[in-house]
Amino acid sequence: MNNNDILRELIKKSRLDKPVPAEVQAHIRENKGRQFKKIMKKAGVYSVLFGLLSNLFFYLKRIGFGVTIVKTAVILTVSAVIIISFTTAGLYLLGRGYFSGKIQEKVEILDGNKGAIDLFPAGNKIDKAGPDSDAVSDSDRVGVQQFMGVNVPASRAAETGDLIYEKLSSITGSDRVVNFRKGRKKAGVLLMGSIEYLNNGYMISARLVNIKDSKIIYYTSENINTLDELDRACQSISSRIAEKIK
Amino acid sequence: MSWKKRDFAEAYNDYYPLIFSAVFSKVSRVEDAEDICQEIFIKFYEKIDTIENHRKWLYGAMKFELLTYYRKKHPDVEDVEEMLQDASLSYVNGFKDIRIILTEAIENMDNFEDESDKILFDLVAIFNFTYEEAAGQLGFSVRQVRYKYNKIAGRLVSYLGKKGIKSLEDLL
Repeated sequence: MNNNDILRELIKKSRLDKPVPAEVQAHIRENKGRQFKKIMKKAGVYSVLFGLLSNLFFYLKRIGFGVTIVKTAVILTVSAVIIISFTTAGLYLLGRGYFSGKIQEKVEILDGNKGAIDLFPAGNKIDKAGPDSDAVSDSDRVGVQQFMGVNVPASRAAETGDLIYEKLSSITGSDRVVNFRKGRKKAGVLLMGSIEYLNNGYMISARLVNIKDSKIIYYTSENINTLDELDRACQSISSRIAEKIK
Repeated sequence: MSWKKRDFAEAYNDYYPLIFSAVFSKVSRVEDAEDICQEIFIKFYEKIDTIENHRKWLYGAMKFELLTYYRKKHPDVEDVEEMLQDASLSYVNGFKDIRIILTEAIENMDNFEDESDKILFDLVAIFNFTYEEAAGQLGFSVRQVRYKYNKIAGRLVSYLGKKGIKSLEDLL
């Protein structure tokens, strides 16, 4: 027998022990939190928040985490902030129709140095309002989203998108195009794009996406060597897009 | 969250199993033990700011609540305090002296690193909690409990050695 066993045996023989049955030990552990709540209620100081905190505290203790109640409060606060942030972000994105407008690019686009691909040449033309109608319907309107920059500053990408928006609206009329970076209006088609710095030049690409079914309607791109050519590239991209949505 | 609530929650977590076990060993009914513990801990919450030694206060309050309980249960008995006396105190045989020495060792706080050591020892050695149960009650891992308990046992054996008891086995 080691010292532990001998000591226990001595305590037992001296009748100093008061053994508590195993089921009572389990009962104490399982009901500790509930009893605490009752005591706090009877003392008139119970609140839902404190109830939550104490439940978490007793749970952590039970599984062997020696945390203090202050640490438990920190854990609870951080968890609540994370949950609230995710919920808010999720609701916001849902509200913006992010998921309905999300593009699933299933088409592998192979483009040359400079080119335009009409992905739906026959069928999937953009709906137009009737010939007698002068007003632009929402489904005809093109919404220009902020351009993405790859290896270029975000401000440059935004500037590129704005430039295309300006040129496109000067060709088609300002009512036909809306710049989502600056304002909101309903639109049936999204114009998305990017400016990417490659080894020795820039590639500006743009694509028209049908908001209803997320399909790419049209794709075009321009390659330039220096940013001095940006204006010209944007002009030719805008012209091609204007032709497509005419 | 107020400091009072914070202190109470932590003290409650540590002492509830101890006080419950002590009460249960007297009343032998879980429901009665729960009611008595509720009364003890409500009063404890109200006075926690002014209490210096939580364990001492809680054992005092426990004695008072047990007396009230017995008086209600046995209104015909005149000397309730006598009823409350530990029956084992009247146990006479060769272990009486050992009991005195052991009690002294167990009550001497120098043999424990801190209050949680003492609570752990009482749960395991006095109330026969398994290491797993004691760990679940106090927020330790089973390994920590085993380690702490071994250290406490070592300290107690060394204390008894200083009192002239060289071999514990001889006492059995």
